[in-house]
Amino acid sequence: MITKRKLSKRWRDNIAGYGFISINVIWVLIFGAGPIYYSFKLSFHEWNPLGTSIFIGLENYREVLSDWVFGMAFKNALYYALLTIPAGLIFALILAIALSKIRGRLLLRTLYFLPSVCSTVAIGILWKWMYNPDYGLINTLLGYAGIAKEPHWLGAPEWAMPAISIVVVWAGYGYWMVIFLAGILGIPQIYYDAASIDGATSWQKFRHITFPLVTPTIFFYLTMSLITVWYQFDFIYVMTGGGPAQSTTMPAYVIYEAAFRDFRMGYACAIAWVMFAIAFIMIGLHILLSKKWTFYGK
Amino acid sequence: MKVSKWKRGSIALIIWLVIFAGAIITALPFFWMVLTSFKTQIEAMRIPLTWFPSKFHWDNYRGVWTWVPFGTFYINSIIVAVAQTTGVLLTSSLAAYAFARIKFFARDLIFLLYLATMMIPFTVVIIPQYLLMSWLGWVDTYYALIIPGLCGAYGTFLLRQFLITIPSEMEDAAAIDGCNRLQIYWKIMLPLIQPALITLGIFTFMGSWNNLLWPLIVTHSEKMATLPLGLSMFSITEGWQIHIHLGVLMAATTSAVIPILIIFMIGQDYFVKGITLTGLKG
Repeated sequence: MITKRKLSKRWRDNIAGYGFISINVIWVLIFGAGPIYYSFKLSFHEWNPLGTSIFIGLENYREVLSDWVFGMAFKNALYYALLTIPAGLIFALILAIALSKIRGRLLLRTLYFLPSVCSTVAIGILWKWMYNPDYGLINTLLGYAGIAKEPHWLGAPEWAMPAISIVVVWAGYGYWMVIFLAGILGIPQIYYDAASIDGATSWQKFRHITFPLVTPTIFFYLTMSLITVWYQFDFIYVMTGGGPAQSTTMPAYVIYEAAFRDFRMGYACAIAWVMFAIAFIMIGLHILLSKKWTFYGK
Repeated sequence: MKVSKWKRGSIALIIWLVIFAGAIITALPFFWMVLTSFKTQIEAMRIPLTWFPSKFHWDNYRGVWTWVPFGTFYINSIIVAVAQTTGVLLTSSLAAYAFARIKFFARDLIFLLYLATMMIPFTVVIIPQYLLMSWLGWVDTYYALIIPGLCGAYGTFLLRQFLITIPSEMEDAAAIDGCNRLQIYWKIMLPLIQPALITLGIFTFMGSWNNLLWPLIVTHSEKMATLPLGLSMFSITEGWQIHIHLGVLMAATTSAVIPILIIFMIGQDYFVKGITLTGLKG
């Protein structure tokens, strides 16, 4: 009797388990695993809308690596990463530290966070017109400050990417500030008190208590940023369409153009896989290197 | 003593300067956006800039809502976001419960594979997904907008993290009382992870609401467009720009942004709690 009940439970658990995950797993197979496999297969073909794709081996990949536009997109992505990641970190950290030192921070926290909840399209349109050389807000403010030579921002190849980077940082620092703030506030007061007894200055407290304990959150920030940097699409689509002179095109946008403007699905898949490989390697390196400077524990 | 007081004062000053600067930088664009939305065409594009409109010019808003199917965009976004959020919450919590609390054959292996699919970026899968929609004849329908987003690996992962931490005594007690798995899930587990559910719900809703790329690819007609897509057409398509001037454009963006801002201000506690929970745990 007892043995029978035991088997029964295991069977019941199996049925329950598989039942509960069934919808999810089916969905992942149809929209996750399936497309991954198909995308990989497709990247080796010259796709034809009539359904007669031709197998062309590594042709697509060779083309990606020699494509001028993709090269620009990759360079731009690196430039974009360089512009947005450190700046975003600095803004978020500085604001988080400042907010951690005052009371009544609720209202301010809400304010700084506002850009992060807004639709990227709305922000993109807003800033696109703020950047208008003639009557946009930015150049007007620069005019007040007496800067006569106003850049043409989104119209100038040298300024377009920095312009977009500014928007991205503006839209993002509130989100990360909240996370950093929670991290900072989570540091037990005892550490600081002990340091005070030992006669530590504010700067020393920051350098030896606050900063080390915040490095895991910084690591998280860097990881997420390194992942999302390559796939920025919305702002480029709304603000510049990749121009001027391909100075703001980025990998996700190139894939979009290849697939849905030029209808070269196989080629687009190849670009996507190349980007995945590059991102994977970079993030892997980052995670390996981070062990050297991330501080866990006491 | 005097020296340290001086130092403390100047540190406080720096802190407040930083905070003030941050506030101005964050708020000024919104301020300009709302003000400009009330200006006439001439006022909006005048050089040099006029900050305040001479009076509140509501025509821009009337234009936004009547010239283009702005209401349709809203309705579509609501339908899609609500459907996807409900779907994700239900399927993710069911699966998360199973992965966390039920021992079934090959459970951890399946979960690992599950996670592995999460690592692949959307750029890789989006093309086959589109082709699938096309093949099914779902392009330009609600099916294509909603169904691919009905489940999510991320939600399952997140909820499982929460469910793992729950002690099993409650489950055992319920089992003794004769509850089956489904009842345990519904009556015990779900209430216990309520904060996580709310957070996941908010995130899913926002992600769905602000999604541009997928609706862009998968719809062709104005009738099916969602809000971000509809809004982007103000900026991209040449045809519309004949009637559009900056004031109208700003009215459009304000109309798109205000509801989210209001929702956010009301529910911001959940927002922030959720972000910090996922941020610190991650």
